[in-house]
Amino acid sequence: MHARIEHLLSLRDGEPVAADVAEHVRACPICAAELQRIEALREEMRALPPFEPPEMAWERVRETAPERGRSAHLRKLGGAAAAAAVVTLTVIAVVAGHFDRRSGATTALATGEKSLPQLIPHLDELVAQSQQLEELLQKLPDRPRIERVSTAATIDTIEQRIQWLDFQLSNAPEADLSEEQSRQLWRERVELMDSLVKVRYAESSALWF
Amino acid sequence: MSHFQGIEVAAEVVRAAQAGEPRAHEAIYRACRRPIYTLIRRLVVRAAIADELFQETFVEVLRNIGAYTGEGAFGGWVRSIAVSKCLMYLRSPWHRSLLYLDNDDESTAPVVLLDGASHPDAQASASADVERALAMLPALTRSVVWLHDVEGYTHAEIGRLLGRTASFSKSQLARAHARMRERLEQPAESTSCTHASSTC
Repeated sequence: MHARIEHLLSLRDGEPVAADVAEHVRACPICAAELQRIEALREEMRALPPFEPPEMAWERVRETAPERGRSAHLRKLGGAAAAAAVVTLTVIAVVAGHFDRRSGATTALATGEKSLPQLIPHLDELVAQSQQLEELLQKLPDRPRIERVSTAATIDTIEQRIQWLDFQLSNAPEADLSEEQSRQLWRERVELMDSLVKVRYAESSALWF
Repeated sequence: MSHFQGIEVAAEVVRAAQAGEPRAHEAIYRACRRPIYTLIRRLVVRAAIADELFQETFVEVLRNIGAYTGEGAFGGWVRSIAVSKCLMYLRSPWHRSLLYLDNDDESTAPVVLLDGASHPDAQASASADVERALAMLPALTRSVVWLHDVEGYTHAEIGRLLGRTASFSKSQLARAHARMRERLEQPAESTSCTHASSTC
């Protein structure tokens, strides 16, 4: 029985293998040739020519990576701005939620309708919050031409999830969703929109500073 | 050997860069750019994404150069940042939604042949076959074979970087070699003993 490729790779890399396997590879011309082949392949990979980096890459790096002295100062400013942004967004969300809940409670009192506990928002409140966040998003600057891959990936993931939710919500009548199911979908949409606004805000703040 | 072993950045250049000297920053970029870009292109074959990761790597290197303590080779430190960024990208939901990293079905594996513009002679040389065989591998498998066989990472290190085990890295390497062999072999020679998981 010939040696498995795992064993040959271990022999090539100087890792321990069973004595009988090592002995077989030494004695067997087929396995010895195979060991030589994978050694040669490694050398061929190491000898592959390098790639040439994109032109103007240094200019982009230099523009993006600020000088050390400046960056420390700007990081402080950026941190303060980010904190201010989070506080502002939180205040907007709280105020919007407060007014929505208050108007909902007023309506319920006027109609004598039994309302859900305040911690569970109404469907209308969630829709309104979602719209407010959409408006907030529209007011943010356009996305930068160059951005971090991780930020782009996060935004992409959130947007995809929102698209899926929108698809579910747009098919709600046909899907015969209950009010509770719709509310869950809208609640998730509000949470995702909130995250999207925060990430986009942080992204644009990074550019300003 | 890893291209990073040839990187020579003098200690005084690193110190000047840590002090914020722009010319030292550029000197570091010039010394490291080609091996860094080559490494990134081997792990992430899509040129547009590789370009972004390349830029991000140097931005991070220059912003965090103060964190380099002088322990270990400077080239190795830069390389670890590039590798980390590439693997983070390959493991991201964004990338996974495009490609199936662990997919055994080669029909869904990323098949992106390397552009001849970067090295015009490649297509005409014997290395073109190796280039092609590498490019046909799924992203994660290709990363393992490149990091281990070319960059000299151990299976334990690769396992840690991928959040997996050393055994996972070993099995990916064996799978990569089996696939590359299939690609590189002539049909008449494809009957010998090291196909995929067989013993013969």
